[in-house]
Order: sequence, then C-alpha cells, then structure tokens
Amino acid sequence: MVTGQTAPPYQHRQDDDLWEPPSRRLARGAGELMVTLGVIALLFAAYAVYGKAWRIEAEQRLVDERLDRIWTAANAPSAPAPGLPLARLHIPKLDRRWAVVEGVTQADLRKGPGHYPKTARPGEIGNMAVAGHRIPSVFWDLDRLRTGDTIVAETRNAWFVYRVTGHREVLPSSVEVVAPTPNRPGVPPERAMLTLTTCNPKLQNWQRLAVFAELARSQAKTDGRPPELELKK
Amino acid sequence: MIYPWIWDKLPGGRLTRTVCAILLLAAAGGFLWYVLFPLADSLFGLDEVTVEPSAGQP
Repeated sequence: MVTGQTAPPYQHRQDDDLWEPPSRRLARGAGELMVTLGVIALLFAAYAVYGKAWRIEAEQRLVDERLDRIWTAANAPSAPAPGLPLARLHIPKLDRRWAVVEGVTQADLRKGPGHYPKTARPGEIGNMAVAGHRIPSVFWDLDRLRTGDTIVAETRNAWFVYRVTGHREVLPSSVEVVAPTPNRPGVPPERAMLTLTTCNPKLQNWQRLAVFAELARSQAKTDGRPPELELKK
Repeated sequence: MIYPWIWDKLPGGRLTRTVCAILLLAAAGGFLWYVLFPLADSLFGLDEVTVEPSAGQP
C-alpha cells in the first residue's frame, strides 16, 4: 500500500563495523593463541640449540680460567671436587677444546663436558669417560670423528694423545660403554681408554652416541705442545 | 583479541604504549628464556646425555 511516506535512508553506524558473530571472535581468539604457541615453540627450538650453547660457552670461559688458576696454584688439589675442572679436552678435527668438569649432573654439564665420577683420569689405565651435550658449543659434531682421529687430554703436567678406535649408538641404559674396559664390563682394564658420550640423534634423547679412543702416546708439558694439536685430520 | 585488549589497557599515548609494550615483551622473553625453557628442557629430558642403569625407566 502506498502511503506517500518513504522509509528513512539506511544510516551506516560505526557499531556495525565493530560487531562480529561469536563464532568469528572464537576463531580469531584461537588463531591468536595458535600463532602465540607457534612463536613460543620456535623460540624454544632456538633456545634448545643456540640458547643453551651460548649459556654453556659463557660458563666454559669461567671454568677454563678457573682451570688455569688451579694449575698455577702451588697447592692444587690432587682430586678435583664435583663441579670443578680437572682437565682440558682438545679435538683438532672439530677445532674444539673444552675444560672438563668433574661430575655429570645437569648442573655440571651446564658448564661443559663432564667427567664420569670414578672413571679413569687422563692417561690412567682404565676408561676415562666424559659426557657432553649435543649442542653446537659442545659435542654437536661428535659423529664426524672417525677411526684414527685425534683427541688430546691436557692435564697440569702432561698431554695425552688418544686415537679414536670406533663408535657405537646405544641405549641410554648401556652402561657397559663406560666400563673400565669399554663394552666388556667386569674385565680388568689393561689399556688407557677414553669414551665420550652424548645424546643421539641430534636434539633427541632416545639413544646415546659413544665414541671410543685409546691412548697412543703422552708427553710432558715441558716438551711443548703435541704436533697433533696443529693437525686437522 | 588479547593483544588489542592489552594495547588498550596500556597507559598514555602511542609512544608510552609502545615503550610499555616493548618492556612487556622483554619481560615475557626473559621469563621464557631463563625460567620456562630450562624447565621444559629438563622435563623433556633433552638434558640427558649420560649412560646410566636407570635410564629409560620410570
């Protein structure tokens, strides 16, 4: 019916722009949450690889300086206390060196590679076992070591040159790799061995990588640095 | 949703809000980096690199 009156023109209101159905608000909220969690996951991955490495590097500098102070002190302790450095480990092929601390607790390993308590010390008959994180500043490239590669342990008075004899990927419970005679628990040791352990594969922890080495020779520090340190085989 | 809401609650003008937002981000980042991530690292067992008899058992 025509009344002669026309409807008022539609007025665009600002509220129309702000209103959105609940389902859309829910979707936007879920989207924000997922993006936030994604960013946190990426940051955690960066922390696991680089953040931890950066923190350990900072700790290593302090431990390395402390080792020098211990070695120059007149009354250096014969056996290091847990958490204190006892030796340096050099791997020329990886262009790496670390101060090794006594102990393998998480607190010890945050300082760098840790020496398994009650295992042999550098140059001793038995198995010197050392654990380290699989991160760029520690044992990241341990899988690149091959038979014949050099690992040098440095103590206050001597250098001990070990040659890699092999490696094994084992379960985390395979304690035989750090036995006095590696892989042969209960067998009395006859040689000076070195075993390095780390997690395997990289950034996972369901296996351990164990690298074995045997003492090839030693020399006193008064005879200078071993030539193997200059070689990157 | 949450980020515009936080932005609206920050005091002052655009510059003050930007500074506050940066400070909030830094605080959140510090909490993640120094508290939450180390905790998560231990929780997920990514710290474990040793061989031990009890490994893998509850």
